[in-house]
Amino acid sequence: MSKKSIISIILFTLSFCELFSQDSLRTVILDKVEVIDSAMHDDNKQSSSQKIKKEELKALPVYDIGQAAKYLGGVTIKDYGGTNGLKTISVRGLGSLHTNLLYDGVSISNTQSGQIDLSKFSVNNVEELSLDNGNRIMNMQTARSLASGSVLSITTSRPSFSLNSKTNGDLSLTYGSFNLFNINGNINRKVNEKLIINFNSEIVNYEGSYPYTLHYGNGINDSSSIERRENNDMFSAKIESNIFADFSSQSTLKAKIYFYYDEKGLPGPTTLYYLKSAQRIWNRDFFAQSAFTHHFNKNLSYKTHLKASLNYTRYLDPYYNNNQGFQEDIYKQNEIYYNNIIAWQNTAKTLSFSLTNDLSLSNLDAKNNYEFNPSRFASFSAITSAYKYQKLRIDFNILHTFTKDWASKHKAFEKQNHISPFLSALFKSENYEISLFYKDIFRAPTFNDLYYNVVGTPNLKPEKTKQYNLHTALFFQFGVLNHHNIYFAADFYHNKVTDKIVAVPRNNLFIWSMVNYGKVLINGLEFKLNYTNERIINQENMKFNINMIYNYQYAVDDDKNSNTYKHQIQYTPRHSGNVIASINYKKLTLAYTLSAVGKRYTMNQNTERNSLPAYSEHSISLSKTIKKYEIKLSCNNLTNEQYEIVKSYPMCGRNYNLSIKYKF
Amino acid sequence: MRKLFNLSVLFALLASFCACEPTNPGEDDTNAPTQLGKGYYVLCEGTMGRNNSSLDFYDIVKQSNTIDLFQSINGQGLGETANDMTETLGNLYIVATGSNCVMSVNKRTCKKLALIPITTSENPQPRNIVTEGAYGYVSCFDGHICIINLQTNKIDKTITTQGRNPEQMAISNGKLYVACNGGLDYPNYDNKVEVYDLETLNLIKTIEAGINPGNMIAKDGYIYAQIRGNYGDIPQELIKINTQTDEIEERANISINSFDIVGDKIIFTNTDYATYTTSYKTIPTNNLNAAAEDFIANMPADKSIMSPYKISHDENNIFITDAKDYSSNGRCFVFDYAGNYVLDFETFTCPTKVISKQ
Repeated sequence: MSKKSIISIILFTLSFCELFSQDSLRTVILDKVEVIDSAMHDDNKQSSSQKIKKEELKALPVYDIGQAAKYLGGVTIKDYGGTNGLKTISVRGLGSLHTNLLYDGVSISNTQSGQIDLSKFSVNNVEELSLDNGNRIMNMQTARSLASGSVLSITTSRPSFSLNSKTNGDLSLTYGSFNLFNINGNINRKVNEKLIINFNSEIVNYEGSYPYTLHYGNGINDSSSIERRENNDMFSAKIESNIFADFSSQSTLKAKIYFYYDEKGLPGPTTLYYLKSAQRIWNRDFFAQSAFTHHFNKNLSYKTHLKASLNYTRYLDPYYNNNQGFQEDIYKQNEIYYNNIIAWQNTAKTLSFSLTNDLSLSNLDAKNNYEFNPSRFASFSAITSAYKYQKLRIDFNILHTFTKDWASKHKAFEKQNHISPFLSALFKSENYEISLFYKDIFRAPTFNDLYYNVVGTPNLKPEKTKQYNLHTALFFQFGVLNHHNIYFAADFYHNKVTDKIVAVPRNNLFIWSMVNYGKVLINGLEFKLNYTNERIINQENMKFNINMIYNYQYAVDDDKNSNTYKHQIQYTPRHSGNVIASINYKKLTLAYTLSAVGKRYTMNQNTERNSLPAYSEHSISLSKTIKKYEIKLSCNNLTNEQYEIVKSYPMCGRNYNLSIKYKF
Repeated sequence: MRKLFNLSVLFALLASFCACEPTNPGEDDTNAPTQLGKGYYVLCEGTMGRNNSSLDFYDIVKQSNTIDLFQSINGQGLGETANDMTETLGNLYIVATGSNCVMSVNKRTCKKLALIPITTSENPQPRNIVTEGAYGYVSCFDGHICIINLQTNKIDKTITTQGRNPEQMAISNGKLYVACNGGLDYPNYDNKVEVYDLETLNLIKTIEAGINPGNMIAKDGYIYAQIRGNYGDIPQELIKINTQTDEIEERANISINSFDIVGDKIIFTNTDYATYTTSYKTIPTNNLNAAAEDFIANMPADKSIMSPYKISHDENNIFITDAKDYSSNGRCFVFDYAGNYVLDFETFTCPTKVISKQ
């Protein structure tokens, strides 16, 4: 397996030009698409917003948020395989750093690499997973949640109590193939009418030595052998506590404390003739956040968010060929964050404005790889406005971003001042809707992009994106006792990326480096079909649901001077699609998922040698509720497809999960 | 628990097979190639983490390049970051750093002869190879030189270097010269060129050559070595070591990407990263401080080299590889000794060394 040392070989011992020699211009794209719950029932959401709700998450053969998110439309999950494997999201060809992850309304940020690993979040205890392209159309948002190309939101469950109960909770146990253990428990306590406290804890242990087919060439007749993934284990523990305080009908407070620990093997790419692997990583994430809302009257409201986070990462390469014989890196990131929102709406609720401002201060301490501790102050300020007139809704936001970096004794990233507009219009009738949005946004370079030893370049420019989206949908429902619901949507999108910076793992998952792409043009077409049928059979309710999504993505290098002009950018399939089907009858749910992804290229040059073959992954799950127990049996990758999403990171073949949840 | 134990045994067993050859190395003669014609073998590193190093073959008569002829003939690839190639005894020897092995290849047929795993440590990272007689000397970043008996394809002996990260080597006057650059301790580079007696394998001398010694070429009793500096305040140099005395006879402040020696001329390429301009120059071997002259005498107006990567030669030609953007296909440019353009052709990603085949 390749080692981090190779990076150093390239970076330091060979001439500088070799720095880029191993750079794969790798984007993070891979398309899967799904609408789980169309927005048609939710007036407050943008029309192209998509959600997966708790009931569906419970039934689907998914284990973590990374697996679940791939069934959202336009989403590409870059998955390095296994329960421990890094999973990052990118939406509509924009690259993973253009998606903002909100955890109960507040951004999870990573100023160092910008990458958020979705495998850290299990689907246990998640009330809703939603994706919004452009902006979330809703009131009282933080300014930072408006500052990215798309928003993925995880909302955790709020406890509810039956009439006389003051304490409840649940305990779930999962056992899966290759010794996956998961224990998740919740305790909810209603202290009084105004105060609810929740504790949630989860422990995961995974051995992960799954078999895979190692190919020694990309021809059909080339040699292959069966190997097992090595150094692919993980252990993680999470404790989370939530407080819900309703001081009055006007004032509410939600607060959260979160602690996460993990230790993982980094198996690295499967290197021909050398499959040893020993690199390890340890993470500790802590944060505390709160959201306080006060409604002064029907028209005027105030909300504030506060967050403090500490992240610690230790990386170890025990076979590093430096003087001490190993490489150990420690990264410490801290951030404090403060947000204020004032919102006004008229009494008829047809016109609303809000003023929102976020301030954040983050810093990084990583002595091995930075000779200094970079810090960044950022201020996001936005004015949002919405106007509703009969079937029409128009939203207009304007966002101002200011950032300033400090990097002692080192050139720092220039002060940034940007104005970013967002415009959306929606016309929604009984049976159809048309909407469009335009968004102009950018992402600031991360500390890794700017300052990482030798690789970092302080004079990078922000990566800019322009998004245009036209959405149309038709929906019908008929029947009362035998109820049918049909939803069909088509989205056309046109995205442009300029000054593209791509974060690429340099032959292992932890050390990232960036490459400047120049320009990327993305023209996409997304079709979604949802059909639901509910009827009574033998006095029992039967519900059938099917979602199908197809995504076409023409995402090409748009730089005329490039060696790969008009070639499809790497890891971006032209064609991809997803199906989710489920049938529920007598408290028994059978769910089926399909994720099909066309040919991709592992490098920007679109040659057969650089291609990764198309694949399709079928999974099923069967779940049953018996009194206080919920039992789910899943079989993932039913056909035992041997495939890779990232070159040389084989995915797991057929595998099983069994989980039992007990509610009390 | 028992299952866990069983799995761990299985795990250990599998691990012990890791560095072994694949089950089906494709050595049967069913798809034996027709004899290869005259042409050029081009080794291409490929892209890190993709296991896609390539041995291309350009057929001079057909005027076409086959990307990774090695894989199509042998049904398996070279592996990860094949970094260096040399020829002796009618075979090609290719060192793959990431794959921790040396591949021996029949030069006439491009058929794989043997895969020699390098096992001096958990992750030896073999870098370069030089040969003398029936022995191959492979430098490894873990601080070893493996001496491979090319008749048996076994590692006979191992030298442990004093310097850190031995890489480029040269053989002259019965001695092995090893550049230890210490690059993995960046920015704390090493500065040694170590001299070993080929008979006894004893360290004879350590030459304080300069910060971060790089490529070395033996020619007419001298070793010419590139000193790469720290890419910062310590500049690059070219030095000349007399192999009788093992003293540095001459030093010159020259910035070099890659160089080669033909006759009494040093030909080198350089890229100035401040201005992104490239140059192709020559200087005489007997005066490193002489004014450099342009190497390229003529080149068609519509041709240009984007990122000169490595320079090598055969009896008639100079090869300058173009790594382009280091991620898409590169090119190989062929010149005659006088610097006249002969031809160029497309190669796989990051082409490095060229060896011609009659």
